[in-house]
Amino acid sequence: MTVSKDLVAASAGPLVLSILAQGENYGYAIIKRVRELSNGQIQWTDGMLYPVLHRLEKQGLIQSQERVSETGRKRRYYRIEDKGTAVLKEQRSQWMLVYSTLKQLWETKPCLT
Amino acid sequence: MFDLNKAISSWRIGLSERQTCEKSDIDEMESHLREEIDSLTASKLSEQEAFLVATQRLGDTNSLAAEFAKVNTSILWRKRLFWAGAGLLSYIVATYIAKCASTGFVLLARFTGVKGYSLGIVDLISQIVFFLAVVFVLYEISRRKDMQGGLFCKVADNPWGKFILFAAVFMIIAAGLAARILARATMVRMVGLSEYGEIAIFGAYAGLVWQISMPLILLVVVICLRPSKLRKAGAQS
Repeated sequence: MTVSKDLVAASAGPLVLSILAQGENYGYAIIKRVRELSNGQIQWTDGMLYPVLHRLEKQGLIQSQERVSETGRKRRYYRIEDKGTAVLKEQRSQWMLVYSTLKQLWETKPCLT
Repeated sequence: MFDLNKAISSWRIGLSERQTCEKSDIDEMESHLREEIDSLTASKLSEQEAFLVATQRLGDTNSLAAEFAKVNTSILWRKRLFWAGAGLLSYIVATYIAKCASTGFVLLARFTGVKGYSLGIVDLISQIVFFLAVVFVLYEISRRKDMQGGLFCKVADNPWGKFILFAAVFMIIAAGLAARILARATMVRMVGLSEYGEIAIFGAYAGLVWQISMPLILLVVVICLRPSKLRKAGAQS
């Protein structure tokens, strides 16, 4: 099973913010992390992550810094900002609300009386 | 033999031709690409296979460029303005060179015995020929592959390169102005007023020719340099 395109697009922002909330990271590792966590079922076209990162940066939710890694490769590391943490909190409660609503609908047995 | 660096640099050119990615965006994705290729070659893929898989996973250049266009809204306009400025400048430089060179020709013709309104005709024809020659040279320079992706961008991206570029443009305009004044003064002194007047009449005709030929030249240049044609040329090389 793979996640539909619309849902991938809608969840990209919260996923990125949640990963960055655990510590700063760079593009390639963010994609790898999403792939691992979803057992490869959330399939991003890798390049699409970067416009998402830049949009979040423009909105002031995250901040980037170019650094040279241990392997000598230039990487741009992203770090979550206070505003990003606040937005993530808000998004989290929205996703939880959707999730719990759906869950209730799917778990309640139809009432026959 | 597959050359990874060559493949990556042509991938970069393909992306930068779409004009929606900043250089730093492409750098970032190149670093991603190389990391993916490293991890794929570590799992026994050849460099060429790894490159193909990694670029496939990254997404095709068209949709990548379209995604970046949504974020980088200002870059497209900046680039268009840049090209419009470059075009205007080329026009100014071409007319300066044409006018100075034609003055030289008129003086030469005068020494070889041409007189009266014939001098005006010499002026008109040499102006047109030189103008077209300069436009052709500029066109050939801009058509070359390394001017689009490589050399020119390198100069424009370097802060000193930018300064030198501006200084060079300023010098060309200043030199053109000085040369025109000098050429005119020399001409008045050398050919006499009545002949200068004849030349001036043809100078007015030259103005008419510019007005008609400029849009046509512009149209030809735009058609020859359109992005789809450049892409095809890039795919062949």
